[in-house]
Amino acid sequence: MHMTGIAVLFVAGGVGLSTLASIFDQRTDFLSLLLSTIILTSIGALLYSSSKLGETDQASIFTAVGSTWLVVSLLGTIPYLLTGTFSRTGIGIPEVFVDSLFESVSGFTATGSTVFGGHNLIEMQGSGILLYRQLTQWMGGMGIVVLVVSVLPSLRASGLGLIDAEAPGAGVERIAPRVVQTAKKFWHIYASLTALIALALFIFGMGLFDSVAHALTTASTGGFSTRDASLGHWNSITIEIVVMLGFLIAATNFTLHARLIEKRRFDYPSDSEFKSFIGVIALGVLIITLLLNQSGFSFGAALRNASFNVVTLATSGGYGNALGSGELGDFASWPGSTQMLLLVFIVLGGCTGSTAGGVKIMRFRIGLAHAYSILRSMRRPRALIQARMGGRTIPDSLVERIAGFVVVYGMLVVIGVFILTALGSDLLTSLSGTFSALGNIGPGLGEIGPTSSFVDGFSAPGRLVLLIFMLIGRLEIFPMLLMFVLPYRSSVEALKSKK
Amino acid sequence: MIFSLFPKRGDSGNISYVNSPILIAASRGGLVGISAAGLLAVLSGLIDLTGSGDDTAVFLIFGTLTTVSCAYLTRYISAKKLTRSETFLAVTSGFLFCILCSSFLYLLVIEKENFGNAFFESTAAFTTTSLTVLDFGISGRGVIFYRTSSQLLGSFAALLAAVMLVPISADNFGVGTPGRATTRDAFPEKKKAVKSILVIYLVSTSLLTLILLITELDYFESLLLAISAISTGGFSTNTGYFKNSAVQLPLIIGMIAAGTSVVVIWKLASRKISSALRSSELHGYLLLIAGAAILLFLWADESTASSLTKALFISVASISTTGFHISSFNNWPIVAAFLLLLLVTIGPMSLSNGGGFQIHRLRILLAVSVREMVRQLHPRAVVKISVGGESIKEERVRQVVVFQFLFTSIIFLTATVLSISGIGVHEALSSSITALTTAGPIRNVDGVIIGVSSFSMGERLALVPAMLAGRLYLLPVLISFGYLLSESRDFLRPRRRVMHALRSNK
Repeated sequence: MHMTGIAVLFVAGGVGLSTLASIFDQRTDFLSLLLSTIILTSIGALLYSSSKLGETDQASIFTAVGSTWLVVSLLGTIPYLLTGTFSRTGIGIPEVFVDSLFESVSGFTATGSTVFGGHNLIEMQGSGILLYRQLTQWMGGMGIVVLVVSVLPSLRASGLGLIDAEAPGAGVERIAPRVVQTAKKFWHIYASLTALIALALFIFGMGLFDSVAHALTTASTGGFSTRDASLGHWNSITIEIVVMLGFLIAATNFTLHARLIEKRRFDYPSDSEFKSFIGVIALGVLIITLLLNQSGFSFGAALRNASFNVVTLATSGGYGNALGSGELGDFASWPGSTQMLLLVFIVLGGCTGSTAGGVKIMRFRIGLAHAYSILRSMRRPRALIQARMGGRTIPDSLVERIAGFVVVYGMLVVIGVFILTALGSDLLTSLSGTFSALGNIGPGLGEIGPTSSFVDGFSAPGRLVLLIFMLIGRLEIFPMLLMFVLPYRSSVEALKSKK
Repeated sequence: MIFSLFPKRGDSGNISYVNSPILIAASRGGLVGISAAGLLAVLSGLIDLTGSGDDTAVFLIFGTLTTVSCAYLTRYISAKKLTRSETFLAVTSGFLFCILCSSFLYLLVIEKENFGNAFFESTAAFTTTSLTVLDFGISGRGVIFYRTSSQLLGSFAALLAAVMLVPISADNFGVGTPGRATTRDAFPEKKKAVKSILVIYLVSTSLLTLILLITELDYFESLLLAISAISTGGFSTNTGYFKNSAVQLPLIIGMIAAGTSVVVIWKLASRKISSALRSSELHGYLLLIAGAAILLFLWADESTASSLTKALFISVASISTTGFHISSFNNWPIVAAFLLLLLVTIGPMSLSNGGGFQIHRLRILLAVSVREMVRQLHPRAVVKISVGGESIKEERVRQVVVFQFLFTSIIFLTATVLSISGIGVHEALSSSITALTTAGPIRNVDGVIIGVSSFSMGERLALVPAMLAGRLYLLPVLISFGYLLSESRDFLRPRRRVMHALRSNK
C-alpha cells in the first residue's frame, strides 16, 4: 500500500503537468484534469499513509509489484473517464471503461496499442489528455517500481528484489553500491535520453509539444503518438532516423549506457547480446528490403520502410510511418513473406535491462546454446557438456529460469489465441495481438496494423483479455500470475491449518 | 576422413570397400531402406494381380532387383558396431533412401509425373503425413496399395526406432521418461520388441479391416482404410466414405488405438488391464479427445447424432495426427480452426504411431511452469518435477524443454520459408505445423481444406525436412545433421585434410 501510494502520487504529478498543459488548450479539459489530479493525489496520500514498509519476502514483493501496477492502471483511467475521451454514441459505460482501461494499461506498460482510430481521432483530443497519455508511457517505460524505489531509501536490499521483479530480462545488474542509487542512475540516463531525443526531434522539424511528447514515448519504446498517422504525419526521413536511433538506444541494456557515461567504457562491441540484437535487426532489414523491392517497392522506399518498421517492432517501439491505411509503411498490407518475418521480430524483442519488451534476445541465445549443448550431450552421453555463451558457461539455474519463462510464455500465447479467436477475431490478428500484448510491442498484423485501431480488431472482452496480457508481459509474467495465485495458496494453507 | 580410397577388411572378414563411419552408417541404413521399399513393391505387385495387373511386372521386377542388389551389396559394408550418432544417421538415411527408391517407382508406374511430385508423395507416404499431390484416380490396385502401405512401413519403422533407440537415445527427448521402465517391462529384449510391435500392427490392422468389412465397404477399401488409420497416415482415394457414420465409428476406434502408446496396448493385450488403464497419459489423451469433440459439436450448432460423430471423428483425426480429409461444418467458427491446429500440435500419447508434440512432453512442460512459479517464491528451493506420480530426472526435463524450443523453431523457420515464397501467414503456419506433426490436411482460416497441389514445387520441398524430422521425433534427424557437420569439418577444410594426410604418411 505504501509503495502503491507513492506510485499513485507520481501518476497524480503526471496528471498535474497535463492539467497545466491544458491551460493553453481551446478544449475544456482543464477542470476534468484538475479534478483527476485532486482525486489521484488524495488516493495516493491515503494509500501512502495507511501503511508502512515492513519486512519483505518474495511473496510480498510480487504482491507489492503486481498490485502497484494493477492499482496504477485502474486509477490511470480516471483522467480519461472524467474528460470523456472515449465516450461516443452507441456504446455503453462498460465499453467506455474498457477502452479507458485499455489505453491506461497500454500506456503504463509502454505497449502502444490504442483504441483511438477513425471513430475517435487522436488529433481531436486536447493537449492535456495527450500529454498525460504520453507521460503514462514514459513512467511505465523505465518502470513505476524503479521510480518508487529511487525515492525510498529505507528499502535497502529488498529494493533490488522489487526492481528485479519488474525489470525486463533475467534480472538487474547493480550499477551502484546502493539500490536507491542504482534506481536513480537508471532514471537519470532515461531522462537524459528523453531530453536528447526531444531536442533532436525539435531541430529536425517537429513542433515543441510534439517533440517532447514523442521523446517521452521513444525513450520508453512505447509508441503512442499525438497524431493519427503517427510519424507518417511528418513524412520525414530525418525524424524517422532520430526515432530509430532513440529506439535502438532505449532497447539496449542500460548498464552499457551507465558504463559509458560513468566509466567511459565503450562496451557495446564486446557485449554479445547487443551484437546479436544489431545483427538480427540488420539481417531482418536486408531481407525485408529485398522482399519489398521484389514486390514492387522502389529500393529506397523499401529500405526506408523496412528499416523503420523492423526497428520499431524489434525494439517494441510501435510507431507507424504510413500516411494512411494501405500506404507504403502499412506493414499489415505488405506481402505475407514480410509479415511472417515481422511476426518473428514481434516475438523476439530487445535486450535485457532495457525499456524494450518481447521475449528478449538473450533468452533466445541461451535457448540456442542450451539446445546445442543438449544435442551434443546426447551424442556423447559420458561427456560433461555445459551450455556456453560468449565464452562463459551459463549457470544451470539461469537456464532453468529461462526454460520456465519460455514454457509459461508459450502456454499464455496458446491460451490468449484460443480466447481471442473464440471471441470472434481472426487467427492472424489474435496471434499477433497476443504476441504484441505479451511483448508490449503495440501494433500487430491482420486487423491491428500500424494504421488500425484495436477496436477494429477485437471486441470489448477481447480488449480486456489483451490488457491483462499486457500487464502480465510487462512484469515478465510471474509477478502478475503469482499475485493471483498467492491469495488462493494462502487460503488453501489456512484451510489446511484449520483442519 | 569421409572417403577411403583403399579397401580394407571389415570386421566380418568380408572385403569391405567402405570403412568411413559415416558411409558405413549411411550405407547400412540406405540398404535397409531400399530393401524395405523393394519388398513392399513385390507385395504390391502381387496385390495388383487382384485388379487389372497392368503394373504387376514393373512392381515385381523393380522390387526383386532392388532387394537382391541390396542383399548383394551388404557384404561390402563393414559390420562394425555403430556408435550412437551413427545409429541415428543410419535411421535417417534409411528413411531417405526408402523415399528416394519409392519416388523412382512412382515415376515408373504413374505416367507423365515429374520427380518432384513423386518425391513429395513418397515423403508424405513414409512420414505418414496426410498430403497428396499425385492423382490416383485411374491407378491400379498395386499403386494404391503401395502408397497406402508405405504409411504402415514408415510408421512401423519410426515407432520401432523410437522404442529400440530408447535405451541409447537418452529417452528420445524425454518421451519415454516414465515409459522407459514400462517399455523395458513390456519389451525387455530388442527381438521381442520388434515382434511385439509387429503383432500389434498386424492384429489391429486386421481387426479394423474386419470391422470395416461389416459396413458397406469391400475388402480392398477396408484394408486400405484400416492401414491408413492404424499408421496415422490418413491417405484415402475416396473421401466420400467419411461422410458415412457407419464407417466413421470403426475408424474413430482405430485412430484412437493408433494414438495410444504401444506399451498401453501391449499391457491391454497381455490382460494387464488395470495397469494399462491407470496410465495418466491415457486419461489426458481421452479427455482431450472428449473435450475437443464436445466443443466442435457445440460450435457446429447442429444437434444431431451424426454431427456428434463427425465432431468426434474430426477431433480424433486431428489429435492422432491421422488427418483423414473430412469437410468442416457449415457453421465453422475461427476458433475451431485454431482448436484443430492445437490438437494436431499436441498430438497423441508418446510411443504411439502419431506425430506431434505428444501429451507426455506437454505434461512435463506444465510441471516445469508450475515449478517455475514455486521457484519465483522460493528461489533456493529444490523442486522435483513429477508427472503421473513419477519423478522425472532433470536431464529429461531439459531435453523436453529443448524439444519444445526446436519444435517451435522448426515451425517458424518452415513457415518463414513458405511465406517468403508467397503463401499467406496463416496458411504458412498451418502448413508447417501440419508437416512437422506429420498430420494433415492443411486448412485455411475458415477450416476449408487446401490441396497441397496448389503449392509450387519449392513450397512442397520446403515441407519435406519438417515432415521427415517430425516423423522421426526430431532427434535422429538433428543428431545426424550435427554429426555430419562435425565429422565433415575436416573434409571441408582442405588444408587440414592435406596436413593430416601428410602427417599420417610420415
